[in-house]
Formats: sequence, C-alpha cells, structure tokens
Amino acid sequence: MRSFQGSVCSLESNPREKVKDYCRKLVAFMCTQVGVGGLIVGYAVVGAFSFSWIETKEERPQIARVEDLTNKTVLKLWEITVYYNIMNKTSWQNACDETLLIYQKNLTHQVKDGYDGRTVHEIWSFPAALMFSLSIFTMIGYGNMVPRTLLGKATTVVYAVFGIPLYVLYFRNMGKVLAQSFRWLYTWLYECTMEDRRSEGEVSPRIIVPSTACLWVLGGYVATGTVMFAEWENWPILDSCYFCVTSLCKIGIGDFVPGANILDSKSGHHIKLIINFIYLLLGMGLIAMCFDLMREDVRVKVRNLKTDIGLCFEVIRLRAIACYRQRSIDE
Amino acid sequence: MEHRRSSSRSRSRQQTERSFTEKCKDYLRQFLAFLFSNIGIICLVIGYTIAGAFIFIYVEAADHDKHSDNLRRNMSLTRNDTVAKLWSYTCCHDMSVHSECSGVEATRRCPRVSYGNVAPITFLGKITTIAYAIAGYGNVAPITFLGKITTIAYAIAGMPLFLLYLSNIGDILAKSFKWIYAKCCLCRGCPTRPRDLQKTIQDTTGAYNRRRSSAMNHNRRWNARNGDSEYEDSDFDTSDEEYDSSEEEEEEEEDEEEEEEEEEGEEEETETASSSTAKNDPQMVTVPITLEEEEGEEEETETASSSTAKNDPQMVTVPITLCLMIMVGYIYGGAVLFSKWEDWNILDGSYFCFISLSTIGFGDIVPGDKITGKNNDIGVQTLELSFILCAMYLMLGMALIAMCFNLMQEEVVHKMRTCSEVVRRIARCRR
Repeated sequence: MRSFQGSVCSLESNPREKVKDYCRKLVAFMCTQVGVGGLIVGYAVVGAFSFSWIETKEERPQIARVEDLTNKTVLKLWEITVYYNIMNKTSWQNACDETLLIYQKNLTHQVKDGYDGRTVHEIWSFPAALMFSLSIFTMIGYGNMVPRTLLGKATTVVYAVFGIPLYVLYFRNMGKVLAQSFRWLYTWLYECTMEDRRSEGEVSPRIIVPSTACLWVLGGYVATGTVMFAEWENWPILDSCYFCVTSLCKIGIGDFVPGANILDSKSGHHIKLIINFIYLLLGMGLIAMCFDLMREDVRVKVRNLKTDIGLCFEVIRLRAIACYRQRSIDE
Repeated sequence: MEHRRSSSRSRSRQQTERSFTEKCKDYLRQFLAFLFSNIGIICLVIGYTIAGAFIFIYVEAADHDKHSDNLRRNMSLTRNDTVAKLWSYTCCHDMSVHSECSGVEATRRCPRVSYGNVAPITFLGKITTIAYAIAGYGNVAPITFLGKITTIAYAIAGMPLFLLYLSNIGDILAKSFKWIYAKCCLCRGCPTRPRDLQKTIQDTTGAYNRRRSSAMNHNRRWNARNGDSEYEDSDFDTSDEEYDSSEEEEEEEEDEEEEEEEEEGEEEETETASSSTAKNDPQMVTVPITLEEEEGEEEETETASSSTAKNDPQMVTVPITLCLMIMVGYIYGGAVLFSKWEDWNILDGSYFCFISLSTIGFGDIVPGDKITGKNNDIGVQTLELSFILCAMYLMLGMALIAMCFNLMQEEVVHKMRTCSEVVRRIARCRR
C-alpha cells in the first residue's frame, strides 16, 4: 500500500500534489495503529494525572468522620469502665457489646458511603488512576475506585465523551491491523505445511482463517492472563480466569481488581500495573481481531449453508417429482 | 399437508412445483428473518435476561444467604471476642493505659468484618443489568464457584446477542425516526407549495424559495452561506458559490424523498432561480461558466440518484444537533426520574444515567440503595419494581443511543463527502 503511494508520489512532479501527499501520509500515520495507540496511551496518561490531581485536592470527609467515631467510642468505653469499675463483669460486657454494636452500625454506614480506611493519596496513586482512566474509556468500569467530588464526576463524564470515540477508533484500527497480520501468519503457516501437497503450483484463493483458530488464540490469551494474575496476585486460578473474562468482555464486575494486593506489597507495583494496562489494551485489540476474522468466516459459512439448503431443496424437489412419476406410471 | 397439496398441484404443471420450493424457501427465510428481526431479537433478549436472572437466583441465592449468615455470625463472634479481650485488658492490666489501645484494636477489627455485609441480596434485575447490559455494576458479585463459571458462560453467550440486539434495534429505530422526521418536520415547513410559483421566476421569489427550503431543511449553515453569497462582497465568492451549489445538491437529495412529482419542476425552478440570482449579482458575473458546468454535473448526479432514491425516505440526514438533543434529553429525563425515585440530586442522577448508558457501570450509585438501607420487609416490592424499571430504561436507552450513533455516523459521512467534494472543486478551480 505504502509503496504504491510512494510510486505515485514520485511520478507526480507537482509540488501541491506532493504537499497533499504528505498531508495524507501524516493523516494516515495518525490513523494507523501507531498513532492511535500513542494517542490512546497519551490520553490515558493525561486522564490519570488529571484525575489524581482533582481527587487528591481535598480529603474525603468519611475519614474524619470515622476518626471521630472511633474516638467517641473509645471515650464511651472508658466511661463504661469507670462507671462499672470492674466490679460487675456481665453488665460491663453487655454495655461494651452495645457500644461496639452501635459503632459497627455506624461504621457500616460509613463503609457504604465509600470509606475503606485509605486516604485519597493512597487511593489515587498514579498507576491506580491509570487503571481508572482505562476503565472509563474502555467502558469496563471496575468501580473499585470512583470519583467522589463534584468536579471529578463532571470530569469523568467529559472524559468519557471524548475517550470512547477514541477508543472505538483504536478498537477498529487495531482489529483490522491485527487481523491482517494474523491472516498473513496463518497463510504462511498454511502454505508451509501444505507445500508438498500444492506442488503443482496452482494459486489458491484467499485463505480464510477458521474461527476455531481465533478461539484458540483468545483462549491462549485468557490462559496467559490467568496464569499471570494468579502468580502476581495470589488469586486462585478460577478467580483469575473470572477476572480475565469479565474484563475482556467489558463487564467489569470489580470484585477482583489487580492492584489491591500490589499496593500492600509496595514493591514494583508500577511495572506490574503498567503491564496489566498493556495486557488489557492488547486484549481488546485481540478481541477486535477475532471479531473481524470470525465475521468473515461466518459470512462464508452462511453462504455455504445457503447454497447447501438450496441444493437440499432441489434434491427434495427432484425426488418428489420422481416419486410422483413412479406413482403415475404405476397407476 | 402443505406438501401433499402442492404435490397434487404439481401434477398439473412443473411451474407450481417450482413455486412450492420457492415458497418453502421463502417461509424458511421469513422465519429466519423474523427470528433475527426486531421482535424476535427483543423477545430473545428479554427471555435471555429473565432466564439469566433465574439461573443466578438458583445458583447464588442459597449460597449468598449462607454467606451472609456466615458473615453475620463471624461478626458477632468477633465482637464477643473483642469484648472479652477488652475485659481482659481492663481487668488484668493497668486500666488507664490500655483501654485506649484495646479500643483502637477493636475498631481495627470491626470494619474488616462488616465490609462484606454491605451488599444486600435481591438478584433479580441487578444481574440483569450486570451481565446483560454489560454495565457491570459490581455491587452484587457471584461468590460461589458455580456462580463464577455461570457468569463467564452467560457473558460469553450474551455479548453477541446483545450486540445483535443493539445493531438491529438501532437500525430500525434510526429508520423509523428518519421516517418520522421526514414526514413531520420536513413537511410542516412546506405546506403544499403553490404551483403558480413556477411561472414567476424572479430573483426575489427565488431567494425566498431558497430561503424557505433551506429553513425546511433545518440547515442553518446553508442559509448563512446563502446569505453570504447574496449580500456580502467577499473575496471568496467562487468558493462560496461552489459550496452553495454542493449544498444545493444535498438539498435536492433531501427534497427527493417527498415523493412528489412537481418536486422535480420545483427543483429545476430553484436551480434556475439560483443561477438567475447569480447572474443578477454583479459579483457573480465572472463565474457563470463554471456554475453552468457544475449544474450540468449536478443534473447528472441527480438523475443518477433519483432513479435509485426516488421513493426512499431513508435519504434524509437528520442533523447531529437533533441527535445530541435527544441523547441529552434522555439522560436528563432519566436523571429527573431517578432523582424522584431515589432521592438523589439531579447531578447524581445524570451521572448515573450517563455512566450506565455508556456501559461503564461503576456501581457507586445504584438504584435501590435507599430502600435496602432502611428495612427490607416493606421495600422489596418497590425494589424489584425499581430494578425492572431501571432495566427497561437501560435497554431502551441503549437502543436509543445506538440509533443516535447510526444517524450521526450517516450525517458525518455525508458532511465529509460534501466537504471533500468542495475541497476537490476548490483545488480544481485554483488551477
């Protein structure tokens, strides 16, 4: 494709044509996988920075509230202890139990409001924010971390409005490119293995990648992700597989999210999260590729099925005619 | 039955036999088309949703109850344990020092246990929106082994179905919306054009006519351009005029679906009127030749397109602003609705609607939270009703959004084509 354009360009001597050609090439580059990939990564990075900036500007009130609650409870416990003065164990225990029950209920409410014992700086670290922006524009939406401030919510909406078309562009482009390269690879392998059989040198028509191959590729990708996450996060295999499938299907239930454990360990989590990011983006591209290839395959199969059904009806018709003629001859 | 009858008919002639197979094929094709058409798809989707809800209830509910019971027991156990520990601290050690420390420990212990108990149960509708609308709210997640596997299988099977639903419904909605738009909005602008306009070809009426048809098309840009070329003396007269004519082409295309015969004459008249205005305008005198040439081209394209798209109301391009307005209006309506049901404020409601409709689905704000928070006994009925309504809202909204994307894509493609046409003409002219 490119060489063809280049030859056209060399033939043209008009400078305006040359400029136009350069412009076209630039646009084509921007719209190819490199440009779009770079664009989407840049968009994610910008989103991560802006989200972490917006959300860490002010501390959430839940933390102060929980602190307050804890202090009050401790004070009350102390009052109880002073009041009963260790003489009466059962009543002391009942009072304590009641206090703790109230405390637990209040704490449950706070947890429901979004308290999880971490400050905003701990939550909105850069890799986590990167995962967050990825989960917005890929429409996965894990929901383990959400914007709490008003500005954050508005930014999320705007970010999604611009990010989703960009992502769709990436998806289509990546799908096309990967499908082409996969088709080329498949054709190459096919010709290599079939070389002895095709010795007479006829040019086979366009080889269509069967959908089973796509499914194998997807299965292999999911298996790789499963093993990887199970190794890193110490999840069981099933949970890991569950995470991979729900992420790649863009469901994003969000009960398992990589990074929770990583943040605890605090060692090398940046690289891991970034690898995770790349894994998800590439997985989306692979799914697009499989979609592309399988659509073609399904189309061919449907056409074959149609002709088969037509033949079937034809045969039935001929048989009916033969049967009828037989009967009329008998009569 | 059918077969025998047709075979008896085939005794007379081969032709009917032929028609029988054709008919059979037709029936099969119609059945398949119905299955994949709007109604079949909708039924399939709803059935799949309900089946999924029941499957998940069956798989998860018992274990979920057990799980939450377990959690509750675990929590009370931990509390008792904490009290005992507190007692031992208070009793055996120096009170004043250790009470605070033990209190802190108790507080450390409690949240970890109470964390899991937050998500209330009631699966119907929630899973619906989860695995189905891919909106994945995440406040109800399967816990058991079987549940997880079922989720994976359900998602894999449901995704193509949902995509099929979206594309199909979006297509159909787009077609019907276009039809409505063509019938209502375009025809109201031009109530039964008077025939005698054909006789009077003056540039005033011509301009009036053009103005009116442009207003009919809701094409404000065209109007502005038109005004530019008529009333302003600008350096870009040629380009403006070209833009004008290409836009006029668009207008003609849009006109054509009104399926009236005098439309042709009308267009001819508009064109001649426009060319007469161009000739009357002193600035335009320099370019009539190119104009004529382009009009000849337009005639060609018009005849080419009119043969295919004469009685096709699908050639209208609905403006983007209308689509955007529909989407924003839908989100705002949802926000108002949810804010009334759930005591959210408008911003939260619109945030929820946007997040859900764009299939992001964070799950921080979910309908039904308010009711389950207070008491489960009274709220269950309303809760389920609210879930079902929410699911319906989402289904409809996604179809609507697919429709809007369909229309907008068409419009954008049309605009791009027009733009490239204009650029090509400019490039050709400058040479």
